[in-house]
Amino acid sequence: MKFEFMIFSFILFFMSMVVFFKTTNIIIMLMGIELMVNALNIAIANLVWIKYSFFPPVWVMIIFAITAAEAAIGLALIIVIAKRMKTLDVKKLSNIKEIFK
Amino acid sequence: MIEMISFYGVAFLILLAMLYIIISRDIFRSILSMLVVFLLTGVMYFIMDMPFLGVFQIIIYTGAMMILFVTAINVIGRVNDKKDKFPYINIIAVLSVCGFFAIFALALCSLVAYSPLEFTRQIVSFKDVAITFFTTYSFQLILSSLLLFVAVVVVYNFLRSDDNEI
Repeated sequence: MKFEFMIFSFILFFMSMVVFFKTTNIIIMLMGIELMVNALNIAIANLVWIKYSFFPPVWVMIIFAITAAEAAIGLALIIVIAKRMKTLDVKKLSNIKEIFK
Repeated sequence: MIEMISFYGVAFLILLAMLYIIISRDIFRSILSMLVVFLLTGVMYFIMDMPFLGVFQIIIYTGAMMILFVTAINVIGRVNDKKDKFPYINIIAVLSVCGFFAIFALALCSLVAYSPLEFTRQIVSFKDVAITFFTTYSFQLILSSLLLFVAVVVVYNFLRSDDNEI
């Protein structure tokens, strides 16, 4: 049963990678990163559950905090970029230096 | 046995929501599917006998992060290249919300009806949680608080400088 959780978290991680790589929209790319961390959290919680890890479950909560901080900063960046460049397409953001000049 | 069935059911629903995120071209619907993924991940923590993590998952991911994403999209505006036409989406949404609440109510009723003592024992006492956090895990608590504080300061500076320059 615990093995299935690990396989499931791997599948979820790779599907999140597909979400990240298939799109050129920055918000969906950030969503992909969040989903990857979510899959990682499931794997860590599973390791805690089967006691193969020295990670106490409270570290998963720290990962929650890190993810929340990362999402807040990422979304703020995206808002700034979208306001200045009027686009969310990564391909059109190749001159990122000029955005923050 | 019940654990296994609930795991497979929840895992199937999460994979369906992930597939919808991959297929969908509308950002807003992708974000709603992500909400489903996060909510069901919280349920999965409950299946793993980690109710406290499940509650944190639902509060932080499903609550706070979804509000962040939806607010960001509202600020930017819905930038959709192509809007996919999915018929009866409103009816399906209402039915799924009602179904979710029905399942949640049934699960809660069955927990209370069949094992009242175990259910009350599983509810984590907030006093115990507070004592544990502020004694054993005080370093982790301070670290995560600092992280969130730094993030708030960074976000404020980003958005304030942007307002000044535009």
